[in-house]
Amino acid sequence: MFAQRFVSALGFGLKTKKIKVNSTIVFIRSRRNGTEERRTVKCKICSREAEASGFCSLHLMAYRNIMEKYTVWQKAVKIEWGEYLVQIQKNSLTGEWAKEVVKNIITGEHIDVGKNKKTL
Amino acid sequence: MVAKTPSASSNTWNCNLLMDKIAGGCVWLELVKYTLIITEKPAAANRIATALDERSKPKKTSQNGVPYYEAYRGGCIVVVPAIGHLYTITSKQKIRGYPVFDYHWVPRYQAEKGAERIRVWLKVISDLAKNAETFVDGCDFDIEGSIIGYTILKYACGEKQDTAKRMKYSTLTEEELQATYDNLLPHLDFALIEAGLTRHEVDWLYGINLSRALTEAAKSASGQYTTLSTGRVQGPTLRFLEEREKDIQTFVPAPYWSLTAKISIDNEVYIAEYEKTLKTLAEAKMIQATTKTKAGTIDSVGVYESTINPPVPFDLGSLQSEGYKLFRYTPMRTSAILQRLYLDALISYPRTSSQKLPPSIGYKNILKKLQKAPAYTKQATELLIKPSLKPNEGKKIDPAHPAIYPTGNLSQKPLDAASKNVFDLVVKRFLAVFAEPAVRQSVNAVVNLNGNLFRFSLMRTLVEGWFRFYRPYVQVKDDVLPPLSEGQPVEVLRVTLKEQYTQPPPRYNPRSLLLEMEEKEIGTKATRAATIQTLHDRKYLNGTDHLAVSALGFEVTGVLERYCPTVVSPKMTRMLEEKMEAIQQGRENKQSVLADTVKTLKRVTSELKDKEAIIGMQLSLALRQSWLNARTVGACLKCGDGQLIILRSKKSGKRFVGCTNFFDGKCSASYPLPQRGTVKPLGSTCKSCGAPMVATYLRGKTSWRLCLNPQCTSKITGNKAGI
Ligand SMILES: [Zn+2]
Ligand SMILES: [Zn+2]
Repeated sequence: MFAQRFVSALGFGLKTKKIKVNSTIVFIRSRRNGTEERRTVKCKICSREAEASGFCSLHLMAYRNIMEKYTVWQKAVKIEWGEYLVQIQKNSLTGEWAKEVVKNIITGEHIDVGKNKKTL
Repeated sequence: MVAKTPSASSNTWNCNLLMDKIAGGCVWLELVKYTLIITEKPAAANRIATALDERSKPKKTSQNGVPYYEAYRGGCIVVVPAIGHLYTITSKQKIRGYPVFDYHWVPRYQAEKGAERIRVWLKVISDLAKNAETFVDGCDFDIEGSIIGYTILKYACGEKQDTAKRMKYSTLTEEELQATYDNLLPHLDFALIEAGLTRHEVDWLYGINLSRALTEAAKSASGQYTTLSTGRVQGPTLRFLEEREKDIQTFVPAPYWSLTAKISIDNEVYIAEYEKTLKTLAEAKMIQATTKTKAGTIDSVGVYESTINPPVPFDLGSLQSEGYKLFRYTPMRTSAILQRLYLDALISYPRTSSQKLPPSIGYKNILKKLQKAPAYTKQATELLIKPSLKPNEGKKIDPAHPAIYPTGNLSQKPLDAASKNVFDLVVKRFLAVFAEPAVRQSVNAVVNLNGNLFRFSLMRTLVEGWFRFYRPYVQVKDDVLPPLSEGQPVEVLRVTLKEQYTQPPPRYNPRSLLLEMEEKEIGTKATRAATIQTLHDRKYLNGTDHLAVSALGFEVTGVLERYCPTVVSPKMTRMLEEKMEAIQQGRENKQSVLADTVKTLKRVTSELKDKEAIIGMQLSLALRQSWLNARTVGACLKCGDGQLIILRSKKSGKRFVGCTNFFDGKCSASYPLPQRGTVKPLGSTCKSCGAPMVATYLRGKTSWRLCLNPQCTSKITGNKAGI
């Protein structure tokens, strides 16, 4: 994910005339008719478009798996939620996106594209 | 063989006299009537000319680097090769945008950079065509071969496609080539050609329109031009790789437990597994506690025999798959090796989907020839004394060719290791399909430990059958089977409880991807391997053994799936394949399929154009990420939280490694890099100092591993072979 953070710093800013980013809402101006369209919120973790949950479809899929598997883990080892998150985060079989979601839940931190907001 | 009549020999004499007298090129050809045979590749032209010439000594001429052969067989023959496709499709107007629906077939040099050689090549073919009396298409008998022959006959020979005759052969052996030439098909296979033209034109329309849409979108967002590509086959293939990647990246494992018992029977140790997996730790521990016993008994013993039929003859897909499984050769590599073996007349035509071996290929004759090779003498002899030979054929068919089989010819020159492996595999598979079934025996025992049931099974071969013919490619384990009986006591050495986790689905490897494409009927046998290669070349995939979709690959499919789902759906691809199959059988025509394609693409491209801005933003982000990934060397040694990347100084134009935190004014770490050749991050760190490593390549060959730290003791280590 780090890569996106300094994309703009390397001088590859998007053309500001076409796209501007206002916190997590993206406005797109169509080249054809010049109208501005309000785009949905960005994912809490990556720069993809988010769904109502605040996650993009990929991170949402991971989030759902985390929730679903918790019931399985609870039954298997009687584990607390927090400990469960720690366990799956250090498990090498856990997918990268699932780990990103776990990190997001644990820290409450957003790894968003904050740093390049101004140049976007 | 055609018997030499007196007149035939006098003609030979005439031909040769002219050839001898008028040296230099095809001047003599203006004076005699001849048949012009067009082949797909120079090696095939040489084979055909040699096989057809009554003295097996055709005269080779090379004009501006284009070889052709003069032979005599009841009349003068000139054999001229192509070098694969000489014609291609291009748009009529030279504009950059999309959609594009006007196209035509042109010589490749008009559409592709660096195809100048084709101009010379076509000139030679056209000159030879001027005085030819009859025309024969001698290209491979499949879609691609038919298109190569058809376009040359139509465009380079002056509309000879309707009068030309066709050679149909599956091996480049002398016998078959002579027989096919003496019994030419009266005309080209027009249904096959129409299907081929349709495939090329449909694929071109999809490829150019979708690729341009993606490229333009990315360019409109970033102002930079990077070619992005997709296509009718590429899109759906990338899509199911992407589906799998999603499952892996969002995977959350769950724990379960297994119990294994180490037991001893008559001083032999066996491992028995508890009959089911345990979903909770409590249950697992409870069962482990109750199995704490020193003695158990055998509850039941089941002895089974199973017959294992010989394998079926190789079609291209199953051979590529076996090549990967046994030798780790990519489908592309196996394909290339097979092509060479075919051109050397060692094996039959490899681009086949047939699993049939008709008696007409002459089983006995092939076996007799193989008998001469010491490695196959024993097996071939054994088959030859059988009262009858019947191959164990598979279900798949191919209207044009049988399954892949050895011609019986043995290589005159030593083969390289890889070709040797593949040739041996083809021969042994051929031998195995004629052999008897094998019989295996398995013993399944249930062991009772305090009421808990554990199982183990052992296997051995009773009748070797075809196994003997297919060694070392048959891999079966033979256990020593002890005499076991119900109620027999068992000594328990240890019961182990093991915590395990559910596994994510495996990544595709080149073999499983190929099988999946085959199963879903995406692409054709001839193109599948190349499609996988293209996905690599476009940086849509990471890894060579375990194929993972890259961030860029994700974004490209994401965009296509979202804005034009039809073009990436396997269903759509399969429907088109079915239509092309129907054209080949004369049930559908090219015009209607192309009209449908244009209709679909008009809708899709207009949708893509409307959403160009948002698509462009997504794609350019992914492109940058892929740009960065390719340049990221490792974590910064100085500041710790920055990343070191390969950069170029705006002032001096020199290449160096800098820290990403430099741009925020937080870190000034920088390291010099060699200025020549290409530099790639190695993804590893130096053993002596821990600094990230890069590799330097000069002209793609010589490479050095280089540690970034200028003070490191083990500064530079030369490494000749590629890293
Ligand atoms: Zn996301
Ligand atoms: Zn730094």
